[in-house]
Amino acid sequence: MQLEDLTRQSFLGHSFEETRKVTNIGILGLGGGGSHIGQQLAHLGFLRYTLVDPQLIEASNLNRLVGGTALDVAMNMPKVLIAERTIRSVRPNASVQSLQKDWHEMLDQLKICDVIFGCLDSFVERDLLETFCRRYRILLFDIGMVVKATEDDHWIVGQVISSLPGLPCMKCMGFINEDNLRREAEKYCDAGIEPQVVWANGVLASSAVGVFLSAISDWGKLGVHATYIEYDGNRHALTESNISKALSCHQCQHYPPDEVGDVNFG
Amino acid sequence: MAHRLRLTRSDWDRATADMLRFHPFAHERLGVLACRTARGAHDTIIFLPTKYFSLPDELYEDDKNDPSVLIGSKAITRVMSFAYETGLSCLYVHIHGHDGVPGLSSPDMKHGNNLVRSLKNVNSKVPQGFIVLSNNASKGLLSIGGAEPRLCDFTTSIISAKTDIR
Repeated sequence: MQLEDLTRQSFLGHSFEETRKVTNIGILGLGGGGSHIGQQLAHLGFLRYTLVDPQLIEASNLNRLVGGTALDVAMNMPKVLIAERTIRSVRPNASVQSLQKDWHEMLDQLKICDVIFGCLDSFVERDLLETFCRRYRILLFDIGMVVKATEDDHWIVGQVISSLPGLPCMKCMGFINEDNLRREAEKYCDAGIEPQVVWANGVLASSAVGVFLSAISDWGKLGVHATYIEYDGNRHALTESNISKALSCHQCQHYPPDEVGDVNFG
Repeated sequence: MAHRLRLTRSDWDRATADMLRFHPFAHERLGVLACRTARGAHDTIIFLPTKYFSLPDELYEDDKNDPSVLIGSKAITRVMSFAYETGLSCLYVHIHGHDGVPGLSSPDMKHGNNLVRSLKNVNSKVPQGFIVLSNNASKGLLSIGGAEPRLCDFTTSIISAKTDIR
């Protein structure tokens, strides 16, 4: 029985066949966003994964964690193992390294990722991850969403950002700045339960996968320079940020090209 | 596990354009990618080129007895000095012009081993190598931790708005 037939996506180009086999993809955070991303990448035929998330699934995750089941909740299943199961159910020959740890403890494993999808919750964590990715020239794709309560409604907003070595970073785009880092630090112990929903996670994850494919396949001749897509969940709209357009010829000054590699190689 | 070579498209283009220049008698050119390095899981080395060293025309040798010889002691000494002064991991590079993972010919293996040994004699604290580039991938000989050169696979990322990963 033939298990692998990718003819319906042949427009991704001849070179994609090799790329999907050798690219080691890291996914940090296998909750609402990361679980969608893992599933889609498996369908696309990618075969090497490093999955990192310290958490176990809880009942409150079932509203959005793709692949999660009531039995997983009953069995306190790690999120990374649910994602691994989802990937392997589509691509049994995939190489999957599932790490039920904080990503800061898994840096050697992450250095060998060629691409990382960051599905993290805070600006501080995004900042640290981007610094790490720049240091080892790893392609980073970030997604995130929040639900903001207004006087008479709830507003869903989110973003998809690409951060490629040598090209504009999240600081260049203004997404990470002193203000939002400070505000986040001030409410550090008062975060409460952040609302998350499956459809918004799905939109953002799908868009991130699309941006990634236009960066690494023959499809989408424009490629990816400084992608910052804003999601307005109430208007069901994805819009390229004006900042992203303005930075089309910008050179990043935050991460000098020579500041790479291990500080002490050994 | 394949080692990693990661560089921007502009650095890749600069290096390959230099190596594709005509030379009065040498049939191909060599260059040197000087890299900062990192050690990842499974003893994987990540090579992150930060400088490119172009070999001047006069350092090439016209060896009538062995046409596969490209450079002699003057060039090798110059590159050894460069490796010593920078303290960087150095990769001799040359191009086989096609897509996909390149192979190393017998002259590549013979001369490559000697060139890598010359670099490791200068600085064995960082990996040293001799790699062949295709239009979008690489493969080559590496000395890691002062060991004898070994043939190694690479996953190569040429990073830009359109990134090649092979």
